[in-house]
Amino acid sequence: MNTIHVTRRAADKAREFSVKEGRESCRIKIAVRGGGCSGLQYVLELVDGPDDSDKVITEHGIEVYVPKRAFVFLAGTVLDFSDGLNGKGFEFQNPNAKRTCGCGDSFAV
Amino acid sequence: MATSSVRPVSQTRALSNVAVDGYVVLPSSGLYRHDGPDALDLLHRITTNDLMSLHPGQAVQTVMVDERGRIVDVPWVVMQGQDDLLLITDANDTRTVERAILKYTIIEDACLTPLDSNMTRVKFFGGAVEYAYAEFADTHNISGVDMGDWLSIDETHLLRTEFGNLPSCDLVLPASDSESALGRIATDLPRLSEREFHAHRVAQGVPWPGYELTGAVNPLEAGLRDLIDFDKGCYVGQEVIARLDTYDKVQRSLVELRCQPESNRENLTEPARESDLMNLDGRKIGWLSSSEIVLRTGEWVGLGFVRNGWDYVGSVLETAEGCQLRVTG
Repeated sequence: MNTIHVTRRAADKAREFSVKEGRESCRIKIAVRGGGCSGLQYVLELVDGPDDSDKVITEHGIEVYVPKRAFVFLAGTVLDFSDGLNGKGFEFQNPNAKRTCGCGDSFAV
Repeated sequence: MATSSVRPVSQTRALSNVAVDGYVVLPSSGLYRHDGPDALDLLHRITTNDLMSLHPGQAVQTVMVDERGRIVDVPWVVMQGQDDLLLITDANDTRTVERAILKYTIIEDACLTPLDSNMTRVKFFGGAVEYAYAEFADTHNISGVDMGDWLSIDETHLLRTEFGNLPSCDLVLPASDSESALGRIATDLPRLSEREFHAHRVAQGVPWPGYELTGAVNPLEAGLRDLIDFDKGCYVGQEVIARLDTYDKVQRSLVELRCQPESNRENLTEPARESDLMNLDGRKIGWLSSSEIVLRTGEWVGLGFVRNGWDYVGSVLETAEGCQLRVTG
């Protein structure tokens, strides 16, 4: 609960995107910003390295950076990836989210 | 970008019985500087209007709503320069807007700074607008000045707005300069007290924070459709507002009210704000959000929210005290 997990499928997919972008290693930032229908929006991006205030998590061979201010909204979250025609792509399973919007991109705590 | 200002409930009513020229020094105007690389994007994500189309020297009014689509505030967002915004709010409790912005400032590089203590805001309306532009923009002709144009001369700024059916502008200037500036511009113009101003804006059908623009209603109920961009994508409360609009689920609307001539008007000499409004069968169908007496004429004017089906012009309603009111716009 006190960390963030990345499933193997999500890690593999992130690695695939990193390779496509010509990056040597896979480093992703997971954060939260204001906005979206429910008030808080997930941010997921490939980055070069952590910022000073980022918490660093390593799982399945990728590095995950989470800004400390965002961590309070994300503790316990699992980042998964669902593929295929009905897949949702990267998916956040966030135990702190009391409500999510229709598209799943935003949530409220 | 939806560019209109807060619209009056009725665009057509004659206004011969209320002051149409004048100015008011706003008592608790909230002025904030909001700057940083993420300032504009953040406000775009938490308000209803399209802010990303703003250019330096332009302003747009937008609605900040909560996750349930209820009104938090209706500020003007001015782009002074790239990454440098000014927020102007009429909220009585400016901390509300402050809290709402700070709540959503998580990883964003944006800083909100109150400017209240050293700036003054003066709202001109009607013919008085030309006096302000003559002084600061060297022109009496305001027809070429678009809504939302933001003109800056040193530390003095003019924002072109509308006030009901009337042209309007907000003069923002250092508090230390305000009396001398008003002495130059406005010696012949009526200065409205806060009470006179509210009577004037109610007569004009202009909704106001703390009265009509509150968390009890959503922007569609309050007649702020012009401040919503339905194509901009996600923002806080967007899903609720889109659903209300798409499925025609807006339950009530803001209306202008006047006393029925034959009604016992004495019941309303004391403002009966927040009174329930009933239909003639005694069923509650809304509430009175503003209630004022126009001092010059003694006319009672009101604004209220009324359920669908009773919100048409000519509809007769009753206050809980038994005074009959007519919907006029």
